[in-house]
Amino acid sequence: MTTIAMPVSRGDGWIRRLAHPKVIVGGVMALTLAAVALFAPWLAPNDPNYQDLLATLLPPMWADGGLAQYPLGTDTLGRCVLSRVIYGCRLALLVALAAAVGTMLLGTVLGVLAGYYRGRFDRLVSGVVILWMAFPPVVFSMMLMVGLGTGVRNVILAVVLVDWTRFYRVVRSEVIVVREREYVHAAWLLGFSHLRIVLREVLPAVFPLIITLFSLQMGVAIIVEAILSFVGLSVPSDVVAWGVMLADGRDQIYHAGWNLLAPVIGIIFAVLAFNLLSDGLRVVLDPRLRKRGGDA
Amino acid sequence: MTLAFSLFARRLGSMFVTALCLSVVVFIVLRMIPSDPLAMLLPPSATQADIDAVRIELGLNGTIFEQYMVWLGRALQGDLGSSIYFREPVTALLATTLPATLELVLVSLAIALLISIPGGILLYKLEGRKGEMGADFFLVVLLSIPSFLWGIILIIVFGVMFPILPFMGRVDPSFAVPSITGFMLVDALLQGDLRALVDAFSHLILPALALALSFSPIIVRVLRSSLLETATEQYVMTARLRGQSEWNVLLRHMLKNAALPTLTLIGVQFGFLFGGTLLIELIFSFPGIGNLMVQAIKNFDLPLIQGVALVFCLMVLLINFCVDSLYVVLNPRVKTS
Amino acid sequence: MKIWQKTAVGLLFGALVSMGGPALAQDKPTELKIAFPVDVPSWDPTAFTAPPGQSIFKAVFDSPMFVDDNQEAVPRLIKSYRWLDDEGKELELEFRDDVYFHDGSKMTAEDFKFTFDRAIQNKTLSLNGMMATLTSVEVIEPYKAVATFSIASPTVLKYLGFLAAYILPKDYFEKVGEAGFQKQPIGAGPYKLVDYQRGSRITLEAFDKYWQGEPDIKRVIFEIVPDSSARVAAVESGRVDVSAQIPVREVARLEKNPKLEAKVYPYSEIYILQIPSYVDTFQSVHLRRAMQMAIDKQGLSRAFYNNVAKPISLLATKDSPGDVAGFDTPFDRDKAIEELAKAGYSKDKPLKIRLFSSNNTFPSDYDMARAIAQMWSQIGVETTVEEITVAKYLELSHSSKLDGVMLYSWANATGDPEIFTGRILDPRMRFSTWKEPELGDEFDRLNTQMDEEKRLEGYRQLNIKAAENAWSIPVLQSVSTIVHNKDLNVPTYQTGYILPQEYSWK
Repeated sequence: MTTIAMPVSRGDGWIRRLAHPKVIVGGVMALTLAAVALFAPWLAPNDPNYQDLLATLLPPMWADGGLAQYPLGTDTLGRCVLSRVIYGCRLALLVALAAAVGTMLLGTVLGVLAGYYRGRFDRLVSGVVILWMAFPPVVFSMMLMVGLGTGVRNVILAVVLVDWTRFYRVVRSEVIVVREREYVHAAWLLGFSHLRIVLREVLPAVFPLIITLFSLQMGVAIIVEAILSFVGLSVPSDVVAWGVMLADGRDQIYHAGWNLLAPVIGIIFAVLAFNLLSDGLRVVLDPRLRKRGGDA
Repeated sequence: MTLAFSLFARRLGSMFVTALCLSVVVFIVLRMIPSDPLAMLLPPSATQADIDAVRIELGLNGTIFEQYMVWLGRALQGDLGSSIYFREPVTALLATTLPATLELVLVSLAIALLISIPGGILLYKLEGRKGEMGADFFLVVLLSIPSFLWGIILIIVFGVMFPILPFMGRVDPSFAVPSITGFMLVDALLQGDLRALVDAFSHLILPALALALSFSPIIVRVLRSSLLETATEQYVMTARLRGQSEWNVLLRHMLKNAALPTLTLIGVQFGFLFGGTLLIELIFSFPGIGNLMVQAIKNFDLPLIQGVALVFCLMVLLINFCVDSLYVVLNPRVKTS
Repeated sequence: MKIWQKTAVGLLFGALVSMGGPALAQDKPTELKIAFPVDVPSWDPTAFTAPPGQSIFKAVFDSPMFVDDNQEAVPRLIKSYRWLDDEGKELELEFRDDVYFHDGSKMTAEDFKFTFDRAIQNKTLSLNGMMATLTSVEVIEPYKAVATFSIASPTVLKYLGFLAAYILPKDYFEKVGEAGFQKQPIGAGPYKLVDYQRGSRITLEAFDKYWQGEPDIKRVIFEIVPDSSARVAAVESGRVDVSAQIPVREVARLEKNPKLEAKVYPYSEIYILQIPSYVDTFQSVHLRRAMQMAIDKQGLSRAFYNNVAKPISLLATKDSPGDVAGFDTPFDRDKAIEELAKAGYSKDKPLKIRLFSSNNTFPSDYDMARAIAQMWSQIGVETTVEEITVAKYLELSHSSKLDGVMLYSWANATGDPEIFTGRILDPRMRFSTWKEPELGDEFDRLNTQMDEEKRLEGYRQLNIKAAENAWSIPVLQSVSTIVHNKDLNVPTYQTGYILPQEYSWK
């Protein structure tokens, strides 16, 4: 099986290059989130949904009136804030991962097809994309939730349906560039099937970009989910979500600010993790950017 | 001249077609809802005839295609239907709320530029120097905070902890600003009511700042990278060799050319900015179309959702159109071709 | 660039400095700002029954009768009334001759006829449903009219002081039309509408020719602030003088503020759980009884309402005519589990249901729903709570598509059991989610019973039967909250109305 050598060298500087500070910090943060999400049942001090009606709006344990049982205090229904933040991480990562995979698949497949084959298909889909992008994403996703109904699956679907254009555009333009490269022409001349060329030459070239976008998309998905839960269009009430914590906490802004601060910090931390990772990977994996030494 | 005109006409045409297609998308998405708005409007004793009459009036009879044509026909005449919940024409609701949102968005754009242009220049200056890493990291942190979180943070800091700014509505009730243009700042100015002007502006600060803070980091990045690109251009080198000061070079040559990609970005990101108004207006009780949209969605008010969604899209298309036109005007290369 | 920056900074500075301005503008004793949670759905007060917006309507419009703090319907725009027959089908009303509309024109019986003719003809107006038995209105003298009803209507006088029963000005309305009226509505109430910004602000000015005399406070501004925390912020910072419907927890905190007075008070509204009878699961009386007994009502009151909200076991507010003193369905979790077992469910074999609730429509609504959901889950009825708007709920309920229980707040300023039980459980009405077919005849009998004591006793018996069958589960009597500037006299009423026309500065 012959493959044609790619211009980008994959030497042993690979791993060293990956050690860009953004990648490390972002990666560590993301791994922390994953760990928190995975080990939630062991990390959370209480059942996140258990209502202790006699202990509502307790302050964090270091404040006057706080209890060690509820390290970050309780919300209006007497539920442990810390446990809810921890479990909220689960939903955030679940939605982020599923939505990122979905948008990646849809956007990449369409992008590759459009960029590789060009012609009518390309024009059609690109026209649809321009249409899609005229829709403010928040408005579009809310409308979709209204149309589809609430629930975690529909939230993921809504994110995929709204954001697939992100992958599509980037992948498509990258594919257009790649297909002009010498080795692709050579492959055509040698009579390799399109599928093989796509899988063996085109996709690997596009791969770094996809990884970068994937991480970025995860951050975006977390934000969209938070927005949707904030307006009550996302998950049922027994699912713990940071956006729901925000919506609940707004009423207690005066005497229970920690109810708001905990999910705010959670959301920022998670989105920051994926943004850092995405940024860092972009620099590391794209040789052109590395040369310039900065971000575009 | 004719080239510009034909470009203009073509863009306008494509904008119209896009708007049409979007209205179809909106229509279809909303028809997915298993909701019967009629149930709210009729009393228990309604006969089938009554139900049919109201259905026809609302344009809800027939197939989806027929319904769409009815809606389109009315829309082209300026009739976007009536809100089921507010029982007022959609256009009337839009007329009072759209200027408010536009004002908010424009002010936040201004604030964003005020923050990001110096910011971008600063970051460019830090290129290769010690503070660059830190500044860049700071930028990524800012990028990770969506506008509605900024809104909440700003309310906590400037509304609760240090209550120096209002965070509710457009203006204090003790001021009566007549609605001439719908833009409160303009109207107050036209009235010569300086105190109302200042008060209206103070009400705009926090929500506009929340939007601006979510928008600025992106602009900063693009500005910085385009400054980096133009820095290596030939004419910049020549200017330097001719002995012009760094600031001079910056202001006269680089910024002008860095403006172009920045402008394009602003156009692209405007959609996001507009979408951000939904939650910001909700959080700040600001009477704009974002707030209207949230209310419409919560009440499953189909005609209103349709109308407002369409307006949102039209706004974005309009902005893109303006940005594209501006691009043509400003870009020397396109002009000569 | 630098110039722009300087201007911006200057403006910002100026804005901050002038922040003192509006706060100082506070000591204008003739103006009043009220932070209010809802806007009026439209300026046709006869079109909707929105209870929360009634206070605003009562400032601009006036009604034939009025429900006072003792929940008695007293004559208002009517001077007197008398039944012309024994069957309760012909009612003669004599109107006051000193009532003016805001455009200066005098109110006559013609205006009454116009308003109610319009209601009779237009089925989409709520007033049509409220006066369902009204068939015609005849003007016999400039200030006298006779209302004819299809069947005996003993409670119509209460309805004439209740939702949607406002008198519209005939000449003005006919002159400007529906749309014109919406833009510039006028009524016979104590205040004129001078400015309206939808969803934002309603500016009212005292009407000097108001028949009860011009109100003390000459200018009233209703600031529409749907957000309860924003309403709290507004009154705390002095931006408004009165804030209605703030979270109960805030009341305790604001009471400590020397400049404010804060109050929680029970009023004529009840929190109930509406159960759809057309969903098979809920047909089991054992299930419903179990759900009823599993709710710790006192616990809910303590957790969310400072213990001010009174637990109720009947579909009536405490001490109202439909209430039966001493009747109580106690909270008993063990009994609830037993009862549930008779329905075939338990913690090991749970039933899954949905509980719908509004969020921030009435105080602690969503919280209470979630607490109830946990109480039910603990006995074996696994409940998921779903947020829904009242508008959406009404739509589902009216088309019989509600597939879960709804936590609902039932307003009834009159306190009359016909408007509580008589609407909650009347199978023919769209308001009821539980439809018990035989009740139709029972209500027909009660609602045409001209002997008041017999009518009330009949309702009391029905209430007890309803409680035993748990057709609709009463939870708590609602509480209302209000916070105001200490220098303001703010009377509160059992009806829960916010009436700036009755306020005055000390």
